[in-house]
Amino acid sequence: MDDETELSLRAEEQNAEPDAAAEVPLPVSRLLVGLMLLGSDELAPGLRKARQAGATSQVEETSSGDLVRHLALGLLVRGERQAVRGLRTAYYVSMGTAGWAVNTLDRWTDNRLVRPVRRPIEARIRRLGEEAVQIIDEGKREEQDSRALAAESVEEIVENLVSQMAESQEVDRLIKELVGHKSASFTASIVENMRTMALTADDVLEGVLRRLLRRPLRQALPPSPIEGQPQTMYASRRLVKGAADHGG
Amino acid sequence: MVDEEKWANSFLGRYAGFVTRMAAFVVDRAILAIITLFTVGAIQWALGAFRVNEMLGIGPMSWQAATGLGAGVYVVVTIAYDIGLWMLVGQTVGKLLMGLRVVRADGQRLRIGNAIRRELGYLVSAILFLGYLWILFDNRRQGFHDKLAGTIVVYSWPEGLMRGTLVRDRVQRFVHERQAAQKEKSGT
Repeated sequence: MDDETELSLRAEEQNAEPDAAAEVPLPVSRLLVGLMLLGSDELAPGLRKARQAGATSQVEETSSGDLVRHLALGLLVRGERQAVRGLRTAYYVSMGTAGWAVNTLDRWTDNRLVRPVRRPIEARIRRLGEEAVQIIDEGKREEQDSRALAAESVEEIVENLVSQMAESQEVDRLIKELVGHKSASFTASIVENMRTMALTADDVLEGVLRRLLRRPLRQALPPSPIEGQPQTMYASRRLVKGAADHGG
Repeated sequence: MVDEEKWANSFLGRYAGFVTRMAAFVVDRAILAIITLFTVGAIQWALGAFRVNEMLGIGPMSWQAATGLGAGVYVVVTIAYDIGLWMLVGQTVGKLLMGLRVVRADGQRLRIGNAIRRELGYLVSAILFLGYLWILFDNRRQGFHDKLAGTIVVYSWPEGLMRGTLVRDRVQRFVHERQAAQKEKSGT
């Protein structure tokens, strides 16, 4: 394949109508990515703080069990650190080797004999590189979009939840029951105490005044026509009986 | 151990004493004072806002006029509040709070005549406060206004709210009538 054919193919690919569904990532995956990013943003400072706090705190070994636990944890952490170091070394070595290999291959193949074979491969590599740049750009944009979408979605979800709770009759009933029961019993106890105090003060004040005025103390009040009766004195007997029959 | 319910029930329907009644009276007068203040304020605002002063050809309200208006409003509101609530539910807000109820000497609901006489009796009792103090010495704990109106004031607690009142009677009657109608309907 020569250069012109290659260029025309690329132009066709660029002019082709992009498939909208394929290009636009699914909102769910975007939301998940965004949530992960937001979560890691929140988690990272917390972990850093915890690590600093952990570094400053002194741990005292109290028993052999503790020593074994700490040894296991130390080994785990050290293993993780060594694994990371190993991976990093392997990455640099492999990158260096690949670079050396590419340069050597480049030098060896840069001659008239191999050039016709080398051109399409170079074009393919260039295209792959450009695609990688595009993918990186896309990823950058996607990260920002995902963050924004996740932040907005979380806010929306919380708002929806709050509004649903505010509109829910069941939640309303539960809250009213809970708050109403507490406040009602609290108010009732205050009123009861106040009434009891006033009732006691009624008798005490009368007794004191009678004593001051040298009048005989009242033994008992004469019974009122409705003393001891439930306060249904306004209702007719028929209604009172009816209410009692119906448990009212 | 004292049975609290039994102890509380022992006061039910007993003649109410001076302190409890005075507390209820103070609460009621405070409520009436607040209502009066708001009403006078609303009237003054309305006079200014709708330029009634200009229409009537009078200037802004002087403090004397405002006081007179306040007194008038207080009298009207007091009469409506006391008489209305005594007749409807047998107790004002203050009496409800303190667990008291006003009834006729035979235990029945107040009629309009009793209520008006009791309201006027307040004026008589207010002379040197003697009519109120008489509650302390009277065998049935009646003030002058109670004597004039033929009423007694009793402890009404513990009891269900509105029980035995005109409103509750009507609700009960309505419920029973509906129940009877439903029974009749299901029977046929």
